[in-house]
Amino acid sequence: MFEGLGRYIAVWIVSVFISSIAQVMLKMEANREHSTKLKEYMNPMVISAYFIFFLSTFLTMYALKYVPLTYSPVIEPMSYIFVPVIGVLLLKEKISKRRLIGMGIMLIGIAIFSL
Amino acid sequence: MDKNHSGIRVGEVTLKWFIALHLSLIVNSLAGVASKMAGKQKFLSFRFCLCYGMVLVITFAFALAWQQVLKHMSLTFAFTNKPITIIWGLVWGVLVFHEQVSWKMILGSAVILLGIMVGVSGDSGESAGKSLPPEGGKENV
Repeated sequence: MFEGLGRYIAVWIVSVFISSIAQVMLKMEANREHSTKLKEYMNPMVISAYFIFFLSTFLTMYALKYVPLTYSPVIEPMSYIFVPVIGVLLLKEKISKRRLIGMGIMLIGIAIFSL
Repeated sequence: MDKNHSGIRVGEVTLKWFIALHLSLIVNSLAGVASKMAGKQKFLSFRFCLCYGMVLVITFAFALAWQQVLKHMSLTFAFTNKPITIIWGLVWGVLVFHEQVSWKMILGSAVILLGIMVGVSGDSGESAGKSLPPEGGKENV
């Protein structure tokens, strides 16, 4: 499906995607009540989220071995699309009209960059 | 928020904290440089550990700096400025790794930057912060 550079770009996008999931996991846990300050950090959800952040640094590094750093303006900002969408799906959050417009403009930018 | 109303201001913040914000964002963008350098090294070699260590140090330093600058401005203001980091990715790619950049890439990046700023600036500071924590994805745009 993905060959050559495309494969490494896909790895980078997966890295951004799982990092976005981790951000939503932190938000899910932040919505819960905890009996102590320590339990806010030392719980399976938060520890898993930070593990995912750690994993994503390796995936990004692996991808950057071949993908030019100049591609970062088009790949890294995908988190600004992934996080709200995952938030809607998992947390039933609402996306404001302004944010939808912003995401639309970003998609246009990604298309121009990819031409 | 910044209580000091004297001196030159940029939007809601003093020039000093505006510069501090952007210096921290520049430092943050260097994590991408260190990450690419690490990716070019043999896994777990000394140079790899050095470069990957730099990624972690930069990320940690940014988290501390971000916390400090947020004391002097709203989250919305900080998050509206944060996407400028993507432009630094372009700059470092050209300056450090001698990568090629086309006008389409520059124009596309500018449009993406505009899209992020439009999307983020529309939220309240609280929701912007909740949706987009400073991690922004590890090596952090």
